[in-house]
Amino acid sequence: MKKSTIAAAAAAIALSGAASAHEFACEKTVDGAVVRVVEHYPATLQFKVVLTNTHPDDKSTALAVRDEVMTALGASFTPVPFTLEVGQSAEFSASITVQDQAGCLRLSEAAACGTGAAGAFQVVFDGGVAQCAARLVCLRDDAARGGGKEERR
Amino acid sequence: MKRATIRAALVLVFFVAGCGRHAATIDGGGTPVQDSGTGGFSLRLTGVDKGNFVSARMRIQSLQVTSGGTVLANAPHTPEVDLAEMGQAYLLASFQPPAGVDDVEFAVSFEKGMVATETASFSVDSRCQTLHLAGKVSKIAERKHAVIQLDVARSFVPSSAGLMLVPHFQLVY
Repeated sequence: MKKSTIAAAAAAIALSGAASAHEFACEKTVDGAVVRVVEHYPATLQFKVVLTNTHPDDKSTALAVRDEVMTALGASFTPVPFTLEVGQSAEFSASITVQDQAGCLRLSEAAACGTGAAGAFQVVFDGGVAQCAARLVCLRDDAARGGGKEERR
Repeated sequence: MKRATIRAALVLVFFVAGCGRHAATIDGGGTPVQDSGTGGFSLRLTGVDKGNFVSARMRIQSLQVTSGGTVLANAPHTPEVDLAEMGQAYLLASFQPPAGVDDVEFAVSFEKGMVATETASFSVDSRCQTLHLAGKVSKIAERKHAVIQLDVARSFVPSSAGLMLVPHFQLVY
């Protein structure tokens, strides 16, 4: 009995040491999908990020948020730092209409190959960093029209 | 006897609490930083929530640790990782930040990969999916390491050509 009590205390101490004061999870989508295949042009793309405080019983404070694509598209991020209560979420969104594959690729290049965390949304908090991301696949215009061989980048 | 029991419990606390939120096996062929004698830090990579995947082997194409433009590490210590091996924290780099710096920047890119479920295997399109992130030196110093926890289930997304790497991760200290 005494041994089990000590073991339980040890486990409790270990777990309390493991707890973090701030915890976030996020989800980024384009038109509701993590991978958005653009088949028809023009296409209006809706970028969305949902950031949630996942700490079980404490508020979490975001010290910084980064999303180069959404920032370039004019997304308005809450001035940092900001705090979310237990279970509370914040949503950020932006949209753009791409007229053709070239426009889509420019966006996709920025999203996939740019410097920094371009295709991703990152939240920086006291306990670390959380990242979520989404990707675009831009089909060729003629492929999108069914007039040629499909090519994906 | 009671003293021995208490001692054993304290040892257990020390080891478990010391691992923090990311109790993972040190792997990758490298010497753990705390034993390196350099007083340096380490960057590690581990998979969490493997979902239906039984393996997720990814080759590391490049790794760079920098601080204010100074390169602190410039090659991956472990060239290939299996992110479905839960509990394995692969050593990517050992580094020593210069005195007085607040942040270090990490860049990790993947060359290619193969992932498998119980019934099928898929190649992974990881083009251009470089992980760029920054870590606080003061936080890394607490345990001498930073760990990238890649969410396996969320990061490998079906596409027509196989699976795409869409990196979802957390950096923890």
